Amino acid sequence: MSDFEDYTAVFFQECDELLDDLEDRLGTLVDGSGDPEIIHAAFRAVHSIKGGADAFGYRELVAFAHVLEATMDAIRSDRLAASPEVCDVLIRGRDVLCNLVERAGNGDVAPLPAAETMIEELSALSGNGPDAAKPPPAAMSAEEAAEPEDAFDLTEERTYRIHFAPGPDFQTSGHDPLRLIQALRGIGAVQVQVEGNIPPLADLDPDTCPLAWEIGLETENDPDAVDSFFDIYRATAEIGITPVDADGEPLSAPAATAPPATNEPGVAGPAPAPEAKAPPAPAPTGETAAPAPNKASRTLRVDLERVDRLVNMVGEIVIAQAAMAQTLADQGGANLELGHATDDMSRQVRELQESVMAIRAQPVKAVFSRMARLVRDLAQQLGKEARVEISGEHTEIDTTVIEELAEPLIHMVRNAMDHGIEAPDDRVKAGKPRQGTISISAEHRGERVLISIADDGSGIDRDRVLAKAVERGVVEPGAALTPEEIDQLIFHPGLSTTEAVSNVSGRGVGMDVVKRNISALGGRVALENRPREGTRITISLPLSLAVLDGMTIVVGGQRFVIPLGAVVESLTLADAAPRHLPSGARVMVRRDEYLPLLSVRSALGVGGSQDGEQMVVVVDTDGDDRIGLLVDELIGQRQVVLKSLETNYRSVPGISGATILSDGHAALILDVPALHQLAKTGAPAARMEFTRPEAA
Amino acid sequence: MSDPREISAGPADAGADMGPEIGAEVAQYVTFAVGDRSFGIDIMSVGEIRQWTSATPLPHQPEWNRGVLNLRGAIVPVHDLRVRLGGELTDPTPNHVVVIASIGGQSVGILVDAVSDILTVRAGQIRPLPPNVSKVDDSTISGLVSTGDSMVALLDLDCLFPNAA
Repeated sequence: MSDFEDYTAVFFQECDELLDDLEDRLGTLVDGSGDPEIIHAAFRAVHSIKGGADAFGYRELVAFAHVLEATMDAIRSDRLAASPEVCDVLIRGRDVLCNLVERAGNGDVAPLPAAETMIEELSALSGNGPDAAKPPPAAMSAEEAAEPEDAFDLTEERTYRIHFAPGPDFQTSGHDPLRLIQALRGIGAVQVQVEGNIPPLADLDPDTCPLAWEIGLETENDPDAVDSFFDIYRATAEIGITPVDADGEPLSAPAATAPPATNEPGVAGPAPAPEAKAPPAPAPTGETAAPAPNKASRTLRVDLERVDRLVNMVGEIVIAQAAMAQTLADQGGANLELGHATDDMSRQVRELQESVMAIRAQPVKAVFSRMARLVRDLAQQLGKEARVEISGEHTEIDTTVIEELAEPLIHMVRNAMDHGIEAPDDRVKAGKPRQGTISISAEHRGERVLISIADDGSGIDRDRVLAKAVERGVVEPGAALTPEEIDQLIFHPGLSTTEAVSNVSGRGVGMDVVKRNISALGGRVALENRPREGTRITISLPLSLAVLDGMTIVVGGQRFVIPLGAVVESLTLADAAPRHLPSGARVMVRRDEYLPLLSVRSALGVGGSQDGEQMVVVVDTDGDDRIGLLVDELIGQRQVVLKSLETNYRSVPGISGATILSDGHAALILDVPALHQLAKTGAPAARMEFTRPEAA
Repeated sequence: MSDPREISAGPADAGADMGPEIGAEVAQYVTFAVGDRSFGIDIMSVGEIRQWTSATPLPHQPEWNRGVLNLRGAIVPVHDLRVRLGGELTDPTPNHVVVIASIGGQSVGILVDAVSDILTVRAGQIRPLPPNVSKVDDSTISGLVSTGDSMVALLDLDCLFPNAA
């Protein structure tokens, strides 16, 4: 039975892919491009799920997929217009389908009320009575009976019914029925079923191929091409090809497998065994009827953990290699050939690293397509009209970054919909098209990826933001802020300009969270605000979270790494001209701005004298401001491999992780925003007492 | 390193006594010294034993945390057992030893003075700890084994270094 479980797992994996695909297609359908291929593709996705579900006996899923399919078919055959309302029903239908697949996967057999309601809604659209939704009594054959109704209205695709009965010497002449069926899938097989009864397994001699199949084929190929496909098999198998169309095939005759075109009328598989009712050989059925991807794609499913292990190891090799090169250089580089060899190796190791990272790279499409959906939902909820323009969705980023990207993107799209895009009437008054546009794009820029979200809405109302900031005490009344500085206020924690708190962007826990999450990923957020014209937010992210560009610094003899993304500039303490405030705090002046100085030594309780603090590194914290970090020494920039402290220990305040330097020692990576916070609020009191002198 | 301190309940040689049928009741412990005291941890939880190398200190941690080590690419915390048991900070030298143990799926280094031996113990030989004798929480010691001339305290690592995330 483990084979069966494997097939089930494959079925659900494919369902996931098909459901994603379906969502994509339906999303495009909403945009009304009118390309008939879209609805066909959507239809195929549902159809494949139905076929697979049938093979595994998920009745409720089959029944539902069938109704959904019927509605799509009505659109396909121009009996139903793909109006936004219809698309909306389809999209919700897809959600129910998704739900049903999930339940089937969990073995949950209780009926889903939402499915019942949805079936009625869909049936109303397609003009079929809800009776059409009844699960077919004998899954396969009745399914088959219903099939032509859906499938035969095709205009550009032809449908064939193929009878295929391999003879006893089929396999000895080098053929394999499975391969044939798989090849047929490549040209559009949509339905594969065994004709007649399957003999008991004990009586079944696989070598003689005692089974016969009936295959439904939907293809754009002409009859001759289909005919010639079977040429090589004719010598050892019975082949019958029947073109069928909307009127040609009697719908109620599922077993009408002896059409005139069949070469020999003797159809049913040899030895229709008596009472072959026993478990209908799960493995072969699962094998043949599982939905296959349209094209045999050359991909491989690999557990992410294995890839991560590989990525980690390559990271180590990079470091070890760097250490070796360093040692060599320290010895004066006397041996020229050894030097060349090391250079070669260093290049190859870097290439290896890139290749390994590429395994984890995924197109951002996975996240972007969710945004399209979100915009549609929000538009409905908010009574606004908006569409999404997506570009660069094939840009690839590390899987981990993609996962972390979803939440900030959702926040930003919500903000754009809630605060940016105006109500349709207001837009018309402002001379804009009724429908707002949200553009989401991604592109590679050097070692980083830029993701931007732009809307053509009202932009940020600076007066309101400023007024709100003053009201909340974020800004002193009468403070002279530049327009850009006002724009930056939207990243301030707890600032929301909507008077009515909506359940869409919530209570101003939006942009500050976005900024914090993005900084945590080593990214930056830039805002471009054109009042009355729109807003554009650009996120710049590292391609990978595993490797980080860092600046190595020294405090009290201990090395730390500051993420380079946060570093603005560095200068000597003397140049920074620090001043003492009456409170004892120190500040420096930089471009007419007072920046607080923060001693890394005291924030982290590192030993050594403050006199050692000779350098200032100006860094971006999250939220509003920059600060100067006081450090002893700058060592330089390098790429480091980020390691979590939580793998074997726990998170440590002010520290985002650790890395291994080229000499093999661990160094801590500073979490600049957290460090700033730590300095403001004081270190966690309970742990302060444990601060110990410099370790040996 | 001292002499083998394998002990057995009966007069017969322990090895001869250890048939497979009683194998389940026999456990092996890695024993090590901190000062003049002996401790043991279950050999199954010990990954490896390393010489002390300087660790990178972590800010704002309990005093017994000595920082983190690079263990072939993994970042592993090192805890000072002496401090954890209420003693002074160890002044580690290259002669000190870090026992890498697995605690709740995490690898943790335990700084001790020296590793002594491997002790084979039968379940019946483990004595419970008399109440209220230890400076630290009694639950950190799961039992005592006497080895003729001295006594080994078996440590419960989960209680000793819980992952206070």
